[in-house]
Amino acid sequence: MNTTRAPSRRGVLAAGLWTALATGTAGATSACGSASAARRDPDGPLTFWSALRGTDALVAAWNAEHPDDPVEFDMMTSGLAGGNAKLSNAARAGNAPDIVSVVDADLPGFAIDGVCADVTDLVTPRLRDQLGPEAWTNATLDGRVYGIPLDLGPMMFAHRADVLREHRIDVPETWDDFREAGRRLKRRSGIDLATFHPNAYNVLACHAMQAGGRWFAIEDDSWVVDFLDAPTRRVAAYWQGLIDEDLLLVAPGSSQEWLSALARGRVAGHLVGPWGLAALAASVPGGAGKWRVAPVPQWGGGRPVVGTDGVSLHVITEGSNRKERAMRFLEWLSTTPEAITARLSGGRSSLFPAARGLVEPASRQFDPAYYGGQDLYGLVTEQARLLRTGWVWGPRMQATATSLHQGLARLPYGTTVAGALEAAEAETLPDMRSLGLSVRRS
Amino acid sequence: MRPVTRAARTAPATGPAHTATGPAGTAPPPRRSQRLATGVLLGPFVLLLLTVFVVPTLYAVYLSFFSTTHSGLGFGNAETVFAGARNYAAVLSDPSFTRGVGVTLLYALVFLPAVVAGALALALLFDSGLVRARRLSQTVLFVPHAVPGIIGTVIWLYLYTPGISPVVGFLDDVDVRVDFFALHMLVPSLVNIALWSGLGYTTVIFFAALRAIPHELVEAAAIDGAGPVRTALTIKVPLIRATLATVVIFTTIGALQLFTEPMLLSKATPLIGPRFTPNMYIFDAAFTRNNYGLAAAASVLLLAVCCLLSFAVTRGTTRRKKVRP
Repeated sequence: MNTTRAPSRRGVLAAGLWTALATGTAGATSACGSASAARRDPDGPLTFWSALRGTDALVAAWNAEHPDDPVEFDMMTSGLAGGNAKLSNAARAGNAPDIVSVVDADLPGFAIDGVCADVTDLVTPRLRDQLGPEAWTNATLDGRVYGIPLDLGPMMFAHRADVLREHRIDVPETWDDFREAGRRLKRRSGIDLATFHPNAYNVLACHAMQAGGRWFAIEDDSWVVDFLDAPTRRVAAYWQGLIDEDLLLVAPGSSQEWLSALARGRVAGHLVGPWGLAALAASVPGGAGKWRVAPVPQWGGGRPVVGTDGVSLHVITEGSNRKERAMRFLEWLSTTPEAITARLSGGRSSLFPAARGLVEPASRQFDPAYYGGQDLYGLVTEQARLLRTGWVWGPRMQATATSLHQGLARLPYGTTVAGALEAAEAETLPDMRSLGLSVRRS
Repeated sequence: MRPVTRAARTAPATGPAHTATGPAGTAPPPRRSQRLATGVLLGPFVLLLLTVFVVPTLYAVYLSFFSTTHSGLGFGNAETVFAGARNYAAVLSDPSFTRGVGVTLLYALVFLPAVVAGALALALLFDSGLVRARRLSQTVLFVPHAVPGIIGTVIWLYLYTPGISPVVGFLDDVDVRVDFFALHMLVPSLVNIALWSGLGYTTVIFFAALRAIPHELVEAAAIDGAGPVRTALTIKVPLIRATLATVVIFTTIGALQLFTEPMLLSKATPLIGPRFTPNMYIFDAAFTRNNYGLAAAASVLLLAVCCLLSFAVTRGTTRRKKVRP
């Protein structure tokens, strides 16, 4: 018999396990505690999440200039890739950062969920003046401001000037010209004039916007939903026609299939907001010097109008107790030349700033050699004046978008663009009703 | 979902044994120590049942009648209030939910006969002694069940994806073009994964039930001149009817809870959306749309359907039992 009681194997294991558990929990609680304590301290550093490229350089520039008012920056994934869910969960748990960047389409959802604060009264007259109405429309819901616009996104028509010239095709100015150009190009060379992305609700929405459509509207304290109003019907029929005539490549945006078609010169055009011009140059390096940018085709009749294809906003979260300081930072971020210069200093972004005074410094950061040295910022400035205002996104846009993408993915199986829109509307309404929102179909 | 279904699936294996000891349970009233033992033995089960099933279920029912409600446009006026049947009305009027139910029913309709018939045939083959290396083949059949569903699906995802799959590549070489992600191939592709992982398991359950059949019965049938096929169909299969019914219940419930496989395949094809099956609808409602009331209502509806189905199958089999003496 052993008189000296050696600790049993099981005892040691159990003790180890308990210690590990105890320290683990203690560590977790203390980490949580300190983080939320820092968040609650009104004099603590501002916290900032963004998925936008160049934000780290921007924050570094601010911190160098304002050592007494530091900003802590965390890169996040983009909205559809998980950023939205992360922000919602953080807001619910009470540890959302002070400032977050969101895309325009997600703003109403965050406003309804109480994630982003109504900042109408914090916007200074100077800031209001620096960003024009075509920018504020993206941040305003029912007359209240919920975010600070960063950029403008007039859709542009990037195209292979060499291919069009070779086949003696003029750059289309109207959508009728566009179809005719597509037919001619296809007949003469087998090349598609553009791509239809079944996973790009924003592009379809941009076309609807340009044509004068309204998917969501706010009328007398009620949401009015109509994904198939007359202008949208026209847009849906137009693109359906191009698809049926086999004038377009149908491939998901940022898919390998699409990028390789661009690289091989099988597609001669790309409809995208200004931000997409640098992305195109980075994705298809072989096209350098061959691409040019033109205004988006018009429907004709009256004043030209341009739709917005994806812009970013900065919002202040409802839970933040440093809203005034956050707004000071945001005003600097969206209106000072140093801020835009720092943000774009990587040279890989063709973001078009919403503040009028920033266009010139922004243009100096992007080398237009890919587009043959064309004055891109000058062209976008002209187009931005034609931006349509008053478009409203829905309160559950991510769900609406995935419904629409679902339908558009079935295009090869007989679903139509209009059918996909109709299904997306039908799947959006129950969700809005269960939230208790006042909703009607026009 | 997985652990629950797996725990539930083990029930059929213990089922026959339980009924066998049932009649012997007419014992004198238990003594104190016996009661204590019963308490200790049942305690963990009751505790788990309460904490991981009963309480969450009640909470889901409670949640389903409440909603974060906004009035009018909804900006900045959210409060959680009693919403009555609003969430249920929303779920039932959502075409994506009804379509998801349709998809799962179609899936169950293909999967259920395939897995039951396939497993039964294999079990009968094993039982008849026609298969040579029985132990080995049983193990090989069973191994996929030991692979977690996620891993299994990732393996199949690899085998389905054109360009990287050796299977698709080989078929392509012999001029057979198969797109496992085409619209009409989605359900077969999913059934294939489920069969791969579930067939061996179901076979083992059937095989265990077949082993429990008294040897004299089979011998008597042989003496009466029944061949192996006739013995299998008229003696063995009717005798394991209870096991069959249980397997049908659990497989149906498992099919209605389809989640992991389509969730992973949705990363590979846009044709599988985030609301492809009712379970995915619930996940999407809760975590993409932040609508817990809606998710709870859909969960309660799914639970009700599962309960109804189990009840129907149980009733059906017990009544048939009563008809037979």
